[in-house]
Amino acid sequence: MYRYSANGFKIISNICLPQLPDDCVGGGGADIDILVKFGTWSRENFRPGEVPYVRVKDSNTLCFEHPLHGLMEITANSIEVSVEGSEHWEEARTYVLGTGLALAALLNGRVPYHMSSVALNGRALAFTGDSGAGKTTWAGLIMKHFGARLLTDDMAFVHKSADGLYAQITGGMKRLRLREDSVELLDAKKTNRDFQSRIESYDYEGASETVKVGALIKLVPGYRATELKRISKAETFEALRYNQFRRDYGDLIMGGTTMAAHALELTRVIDCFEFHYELGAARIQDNLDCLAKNLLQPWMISTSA
Amino acid sequence: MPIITLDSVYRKSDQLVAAEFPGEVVVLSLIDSKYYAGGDSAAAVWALIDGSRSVDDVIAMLSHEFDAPSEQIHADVAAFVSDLVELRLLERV
Repeated sequence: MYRYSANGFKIISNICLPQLPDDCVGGGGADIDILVKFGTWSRENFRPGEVPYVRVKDSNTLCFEHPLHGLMEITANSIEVSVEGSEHWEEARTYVLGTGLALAALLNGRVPYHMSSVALNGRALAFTGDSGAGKTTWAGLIMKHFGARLLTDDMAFVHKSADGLYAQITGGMKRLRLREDSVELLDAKKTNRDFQSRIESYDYEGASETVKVGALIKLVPGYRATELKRISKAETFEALRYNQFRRDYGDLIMGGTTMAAHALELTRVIDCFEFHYELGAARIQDNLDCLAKNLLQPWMISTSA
Repeated sequence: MPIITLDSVYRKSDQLVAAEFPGEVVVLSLIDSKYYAGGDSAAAVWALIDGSRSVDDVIAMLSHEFDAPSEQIHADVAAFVSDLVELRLLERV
């Protein structure tokens, strides 16, 4: 059995999930939040589909089916995985740690957000935006150029601190998944080429601790002029609400109001910026200079002082 | 549209969550999960509605705060309060 700690969950599994930081390997089943194990169902038990979908089995159980890569049955404290063919295991792991963990979290009353984030001198910098906006790429760039450590790729659990004064993110996966057009911007140790030919994965030194959120950046690519501007609280709320991970599933389980209220509570304590940029090797330095000058320099000064 | 009279008093519904910020307010209705955002003037009106002040009191306080004639802001406040009542974010006391 493998033991992991990710996103604040203690996970024990008979499936190797290498994207997670190892706390240790072996040990018993005590003091765990999520048990990940091999399942035994066949596809006949599920509704055939052409796209991944989630259905409610009963009030405590969700089922996820991917038309190519397998099936998952998810409760608040377990993820059971059935995969058809060993060639699909790499992808199934990704779904366990993405959709599976997110749905288990929702069943636990926790709200995941569609964000990549890094830890820089004790503060988290989180990136959000549409798929392809550059969340993972920017997490990688901040790591490469400012020495940040990866907190989460693609999914983050953001929550208020115990005293309610600020937001926090807890570290999750330690693997970045980059699209082909972003790969050249990062000089990283390659792990594997993914099932989708345009995505590659890279391992990084990851942080598993809980880190105070310094800023949230909403990425808006396609602008020739680089600009970082603070956005209003209403726009911050919109950005958070829009990027709640699998909001459709979450609303199904928790009710939209619960999800929206969570985003509104975070809005109170998060500073959010919109970053207009044009990605490409020739523009990287301009973009980094803009972020450093307008946001990151005080973070670095406060630590070195 | 609900008719708003100057002597009527309104309170915020208990079926909402609101977050007030400097110059902004975001209100989430727990009835239908819709949310509403307002800027400077909306936030100022929202902050003054407390279940004890009349619409007239609110207008007078805004008039003082923004140094504007009450006649000038009366129509805007009445229309705004009427909208909030229709959205079930305010209830008449």
